[in-house]
Amino acid sequence: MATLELLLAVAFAAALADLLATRGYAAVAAATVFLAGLLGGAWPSTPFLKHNEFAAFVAAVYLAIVVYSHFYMREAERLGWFWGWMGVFFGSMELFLLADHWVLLALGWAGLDIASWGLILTYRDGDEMGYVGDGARAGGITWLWPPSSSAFRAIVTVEVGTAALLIALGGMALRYGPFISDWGPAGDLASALILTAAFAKAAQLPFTDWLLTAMSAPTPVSALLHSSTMVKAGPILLLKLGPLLAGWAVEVAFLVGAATAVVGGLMALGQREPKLVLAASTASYLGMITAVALKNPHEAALLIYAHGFAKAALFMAVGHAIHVTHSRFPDAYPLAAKVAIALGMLMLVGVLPTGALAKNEAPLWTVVVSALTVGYLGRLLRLPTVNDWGPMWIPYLALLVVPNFLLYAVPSPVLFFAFVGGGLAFLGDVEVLKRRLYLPVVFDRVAPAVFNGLWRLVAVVDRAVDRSLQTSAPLWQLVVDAVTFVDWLVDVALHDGLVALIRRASAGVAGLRLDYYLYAVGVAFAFIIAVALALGIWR
Amino acid sequence: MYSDIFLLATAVSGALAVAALRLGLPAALASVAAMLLFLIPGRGVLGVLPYVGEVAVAVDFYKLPFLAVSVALGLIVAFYSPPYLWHLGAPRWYYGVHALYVLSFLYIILFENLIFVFLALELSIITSFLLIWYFGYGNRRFVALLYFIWAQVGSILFLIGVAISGTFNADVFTAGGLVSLLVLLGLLIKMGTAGVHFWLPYAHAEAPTPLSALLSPVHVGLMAYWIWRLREGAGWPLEALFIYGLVTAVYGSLLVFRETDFKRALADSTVANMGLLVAAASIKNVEVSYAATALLFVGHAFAKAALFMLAGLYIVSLHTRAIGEARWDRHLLAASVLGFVALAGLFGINLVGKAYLAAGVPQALYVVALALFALVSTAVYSFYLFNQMYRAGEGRVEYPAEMYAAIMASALAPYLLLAALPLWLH
Repeated sequence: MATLELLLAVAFAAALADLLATRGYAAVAAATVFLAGLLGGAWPSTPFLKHNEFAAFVAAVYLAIVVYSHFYMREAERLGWFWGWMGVFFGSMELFLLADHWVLLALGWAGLDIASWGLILTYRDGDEMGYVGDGARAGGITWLWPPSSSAFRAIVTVEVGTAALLIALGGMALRYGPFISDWGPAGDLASALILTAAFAKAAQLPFTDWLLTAMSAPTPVSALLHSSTMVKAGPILLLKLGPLLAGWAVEVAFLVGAATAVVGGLMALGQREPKLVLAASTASYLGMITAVALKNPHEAALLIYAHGFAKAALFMAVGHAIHVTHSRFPDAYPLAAKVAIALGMLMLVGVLPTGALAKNEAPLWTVVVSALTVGYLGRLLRLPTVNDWGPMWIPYLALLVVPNFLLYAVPSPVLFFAFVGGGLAFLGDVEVLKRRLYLPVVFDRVAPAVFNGLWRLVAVVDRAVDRSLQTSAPLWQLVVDAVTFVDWLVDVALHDGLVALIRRASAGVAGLRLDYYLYAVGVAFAFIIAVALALGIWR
Repeated sequence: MYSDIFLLATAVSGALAVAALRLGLPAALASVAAMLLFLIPGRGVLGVLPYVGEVAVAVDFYKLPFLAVSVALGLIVAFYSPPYLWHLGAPRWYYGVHALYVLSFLYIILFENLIFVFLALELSIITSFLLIWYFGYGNRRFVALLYFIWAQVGSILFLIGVAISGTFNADVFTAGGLVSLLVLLGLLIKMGTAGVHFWLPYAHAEAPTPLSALLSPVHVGLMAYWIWRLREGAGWPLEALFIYGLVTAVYGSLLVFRETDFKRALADSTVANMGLLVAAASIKNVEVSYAATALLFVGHAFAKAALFMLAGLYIVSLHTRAIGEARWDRHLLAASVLGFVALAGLFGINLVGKAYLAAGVPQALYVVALALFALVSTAVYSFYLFNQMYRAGEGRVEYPAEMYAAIMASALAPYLLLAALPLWLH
């Protein structure tokens, strides 16, 4: 019987093996072993880990994606880098899910950050496939981001969440002990920090844009990052710690999540790069999940499953088209990809059995998000079909079909209202949506300007003090000069002045003539006699 | 018993270090290797001196990480040095001074008598001063003097404070008011925290790179141990010190962005990390404080040494110190990713250290906000520097294999040490 500790060790060892062998066979093996181990009832052998319901789901999605990657990345460069980070990504997500010790949870959480950063850097700067954006100028910025810019933006944004999580978890650990299952209620400050961490990770407003520029990564990475790992860590954190949070957190999560759900859906409508459509859609669905995560955790879990399967498949389907047309803006889609996009849409809006299970209990406002979904995915379906039957379609169609036999329900009639959104598929370009409400301007212009101003100020102050310290060297010289002068004065007084004085006095005395002495002696005697007479000594 | 081991280790490593003045690298390596003897746990009294009192040496669990890192980096850097010193045209006696410098690190931590700690500080200052004076860059004599004077001011303030306190044994050290502040100020000047850091960027950047790879990672950081050790008796205002540490972390991080010189950027980053160490050493809960201090010290030491050695590799192979001119192949890319990610505190034991530091943040809104900014900014500059290097582009770089091996040994350490995690998870 495999233990969870052993499975995690296998996952990280596979990452190392793939890094060195640049193949990716270890990734397939690790995913299979992990999934089999979990389904076979693997259990923790130390108190550090605890079973988690999403662990098998993540392993299953990962397995489908690594199989797909073998086809997608066949002609790509830097495969050791790609496979190594993929392995770290998977291992970190599982570590985050299974951890019950706060430090292990933090390690998993940060491992996700660093692996997604590495994966975004997979394509070289200058490789057309690694760019995001159309190169136009709008809002004072150029809408084109190379992988190094995207990676930097991603890591800086999510680090805000990671730092917040460290402070929150650390404070809780100090109060209640290291094991999360022993923890009691969190204070207001800790609750706010945990919400911030979840929002940054799940690309909720205002942290949304890193998720869109993260499309610099190869499509399998997007498929993994958007479906089961990374962004999902946000709402899963809320599911893990939700019962401990302050009461007001429910409302805040709802407001931010619902706002992101609608705004993300609208942004997706405006995008022309299919990966960006799906990325904005992810922000939207993560918003929906975040909104319900604290109110109705069971509902949130079902949404995580349905969205995970659908979004992974959608990315792989779009990736199929990108792979076939060698363009970030494919003008035609393979038939299998189109079928997958249609099925993915049905899964997301809740018409397929797995989707229905997730959506039947969802609040009514989510139908608006579903309508937007039909709009932006319908737009992809309108494009022409190209004939390609490479084996890439097997893993993504499997992800859309198989879950319906495991998780299912009959869709409630209200869900069909989503198809009203079909009209949106014929909508023309809306500049403000295409420019993502100009949110990237904040990240490209405003935030850097504030930060640059800050460091320049510090640099100027530091330089001024440093300079003044260095120019104070002459001051030291002045002190030295003063001391030297006083020393000279004393020296002269002692060794020159006094000696000369005595010498002059003695020379003066030595130069006097004898008659002066006799006269002085006579006067002295006369004085003594006069005193003696006056006192009457002779009487 | 332990005093015998101490004397033996001192005799062997000291004699070998002196021999290294003539014989060079092999003797220096043997000398530093002999210092492993110091790591045997125990306590012994070397003697009792008039006025100074009992001169004790001790190694316990708490001292071990600081000692082990000193020896490990002493060996790695010695192994790294030959191609660099050949490039500098430095004579063999460099290695002898290097070994004595490493020996001074061990003494700084080993001695329980604070007067002897001061003497160890002096040994470290004199040895490092000599190496900057003879083998530094730029206006090396000016920088060496600048370093010497600041370091002397620091160690002498420490000595004055200790002397006035009248308690020379670390176990019973008690001081109050101005006297305890003198000791603190002395230690902070030696660390180079905000306000008393002006010597640090010059010294660490203009020192010969193998020296920078010990000065910045180990030497300044060792003071954090003494802040942690003496805090009970000194009665410093810990919360204020914690906030001052965070301010230093932010200040140092912001300084990094002004640099185009690889070594100066790393030196500014040291200011930031010393801030984190000061904050770690002043966490209220003494065990959490120790965990944060030790983990941040060890993680920072290996990451920073690796990156300084990487900067040195570029000096030797590309004759440049500008980070924007550093080309990389996949091996160098791997080393820089490992180094910068650990320095950022995003993974490796540096992350665990940051986590324990975060655990010590007092639950007040303004401190939490400051801590958040400090944790983020110390991560952001690392990725900023990495991006500078990454965008400089790929290229063929010819470099000696032993330099690269040393860099990798140091860069991998923060990750490999995660294997020791169960030690402090309980």
